[in-house]
Amino acid sequence: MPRRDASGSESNVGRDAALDTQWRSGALVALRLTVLLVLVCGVGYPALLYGAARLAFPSQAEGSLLHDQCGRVIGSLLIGQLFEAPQYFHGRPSAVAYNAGSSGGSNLGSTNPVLADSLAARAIAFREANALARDRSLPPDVVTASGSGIDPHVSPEMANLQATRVRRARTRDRGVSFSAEQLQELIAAHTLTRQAGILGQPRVNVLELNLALDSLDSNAPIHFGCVPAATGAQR
Amino acid sequence: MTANGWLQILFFSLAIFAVAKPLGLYLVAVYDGRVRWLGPIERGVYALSDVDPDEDQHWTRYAGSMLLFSLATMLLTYAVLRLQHLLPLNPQHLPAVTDRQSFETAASFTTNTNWQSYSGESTMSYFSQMTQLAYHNFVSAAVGMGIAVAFVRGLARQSAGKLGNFWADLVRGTLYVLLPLSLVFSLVLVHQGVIQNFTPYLNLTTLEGAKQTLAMGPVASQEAIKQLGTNGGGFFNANSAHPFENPTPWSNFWAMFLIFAIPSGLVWMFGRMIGNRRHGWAVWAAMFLLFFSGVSTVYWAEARGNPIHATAGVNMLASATQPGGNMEGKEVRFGIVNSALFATITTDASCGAVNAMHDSFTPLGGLVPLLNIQLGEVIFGGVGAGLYGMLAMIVLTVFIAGLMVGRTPEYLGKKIQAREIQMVMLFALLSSLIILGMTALSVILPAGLAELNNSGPHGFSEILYAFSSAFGNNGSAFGGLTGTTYYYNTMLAVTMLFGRFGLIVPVLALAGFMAEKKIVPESIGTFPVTGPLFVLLLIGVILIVGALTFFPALALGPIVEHFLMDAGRLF
Repeated sequence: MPRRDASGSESNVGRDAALDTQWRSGALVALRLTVLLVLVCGVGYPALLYGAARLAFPSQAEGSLLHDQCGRVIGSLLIGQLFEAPQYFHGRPSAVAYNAGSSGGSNLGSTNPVLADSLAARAIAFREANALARDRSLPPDVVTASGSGIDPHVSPEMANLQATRVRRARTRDRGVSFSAEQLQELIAAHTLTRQAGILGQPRVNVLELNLALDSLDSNAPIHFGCVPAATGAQR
Repeated sequence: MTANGWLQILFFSLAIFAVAKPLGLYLVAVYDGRVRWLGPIERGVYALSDVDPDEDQHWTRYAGSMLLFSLATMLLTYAVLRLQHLLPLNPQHLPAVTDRQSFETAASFTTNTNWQSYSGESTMSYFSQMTQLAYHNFVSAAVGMGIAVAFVRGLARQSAGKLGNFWADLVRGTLYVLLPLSLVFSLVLVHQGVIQNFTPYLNLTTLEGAKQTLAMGPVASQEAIKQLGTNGGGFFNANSAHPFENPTPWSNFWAMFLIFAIPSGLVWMFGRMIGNRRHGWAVWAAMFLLFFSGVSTVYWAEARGNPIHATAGVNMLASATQPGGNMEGKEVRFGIVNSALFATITTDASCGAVNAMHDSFTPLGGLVPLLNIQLGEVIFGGVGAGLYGMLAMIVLTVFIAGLMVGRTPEYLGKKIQAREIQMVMLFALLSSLIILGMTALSVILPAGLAELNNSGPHGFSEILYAFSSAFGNNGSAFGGLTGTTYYYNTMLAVTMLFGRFGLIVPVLALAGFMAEKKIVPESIGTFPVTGPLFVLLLIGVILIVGALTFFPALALGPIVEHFLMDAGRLF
């Protein structure tokens, strides 16, 4: 009896020790593998992709940036800008005032009075600014904030509704006259269709449209040339 | 709803169907250890980490290895986030992440949840994003796939009790599946306009003369794996609504495709590994039917829009020149249909990336994503997690069918007995206990109510969604609930850990029990697991279990809000 007791407890000790080493070796494997996989997935892979993207698609990798004649960045083709002046087409309402360093939507629910009120106010303001009838129905993108807060696009209808205002403002303030047809053509030329004929929604890139407009407008600021102060003053 | 909208849904459905077999075949080969084209790297990793890839592990050892690995990665992430200000690649000089936020984020990314109560561009340095968050996107996905493969091995083997080797499954899934696919699709995304750089944020003067800041970063390397691994953690706050993450309809299509690709392939792999491909397709069909019903409902609800907005003179009818419907929180380039598709896909799977703000969906449009999560994300589901969740539901279905005809239930020739059903019930009941318990607690405590962006039934939905998303390891949100307080950071982190490990352990136990059993030949009394009868019964069990558990809570949130919205009530 005593011998069996002794051997029994001994094998228990042995089993515990074996289990102990199993856990310890498992923990060591886990630590080593963690470090190795961080090197492969968290360092090697992004670096490899960085190199490949720079070689294959450098412009996109840098953010599809748009430059003026002096080489200064004036925006990104993909990121919407805030337009409030009457001579420009305006984008959608934004919950973050087009701050591309802090993207986001309103997160207001369907039964939130804040949303209902701001929608109604935006509808009235848009109709007034564009001299539309008080009961003119509006496409939803006119009054709703986007998910990103920096949506670069509006619907073709929202662009068309602004054409008259933009034309009048250019004539009044700049003395540059566009015909109504000219503006319609410009909007049509900058309307993106569905990709592959199926995917997505027809849309107009507001920044691109406004740049095209300015390039036809000899009095627009972009034609005033480069301001040499930036480089000149440093020397 | 438009013809083009349905065409886009059909196009996506075909792509998911087409990928199932080729990817499934490849997955079978990878987890059999027959794929060797990165052999030197694979062997190097084994040698350096002292792993014997051929050691067959009992379920307890498989589970132990998984827990140890997850703990190690979680601790590392906590440390890096706390020390972020001392580490390189931080051009914005972002400070250390707070203790509670670091804990929650480490739990969130370790559990494949990617719930984010921070906004990426103002919290995380490029170093943290790359070496921790993107890294977790790989390994948490590889862990999930490994668990699913182990479960399938448990069903396919007999009288064995061993489930394979966790370390080898982890390394093979990462090296041969996730890395190469991510690399290829990242380049596709860069081509569409997703950025990949390390430059500081760009300050520019806009056309109108205002100042604008453009957040930059290595986004593409995180973007493909974010979808492919059903992680969903955005580089930026706006996630896949941000044009630098998701610039075009094509990038959006590939994002959605990547979310469902591996889950679809895993179902085919499952059919092949158990030697019953028709059963695999039957499971696939059940998933697809649930997916299609979901997307149709969201599409209908969002295209119908909000009657309160219609009174302001908004035209809800879509046409060739405008998107129509409820566009609050949605992007023009995606329109209603792609927002509805994305929301359904991201919650069918445990992804949680969003290309539109779910909080601003109509009540019924928001109900479907919520219900998808609560059903256990078994509709294609998260990589791995969807398949093992579905298998647990199948065992339950077969058990119920057995009770109805009064025979001992069996599944794939294995008898389902008391301890298997105990594990399944643990799996099914834990979700209701934690989600409903945490939600109830939060609507009682002032700390739970202080963070809401909306009141009335929608405020309740925000809380319910948060805990459903955390437990389901989804990570999408009704984003109005800010959740950067000690209360929510901690409660949600605990919920995520339960939702991951509290389910994986019973699943592996179930797999281990099944692996020990002998396979008995089919008899005339065996419930067939291939035909339409099985598909319908499976869908029925999933809906009944989910609905019985969550219907009362849903009635208090989105359902009552729907009727009140139609009556024009505001809160």
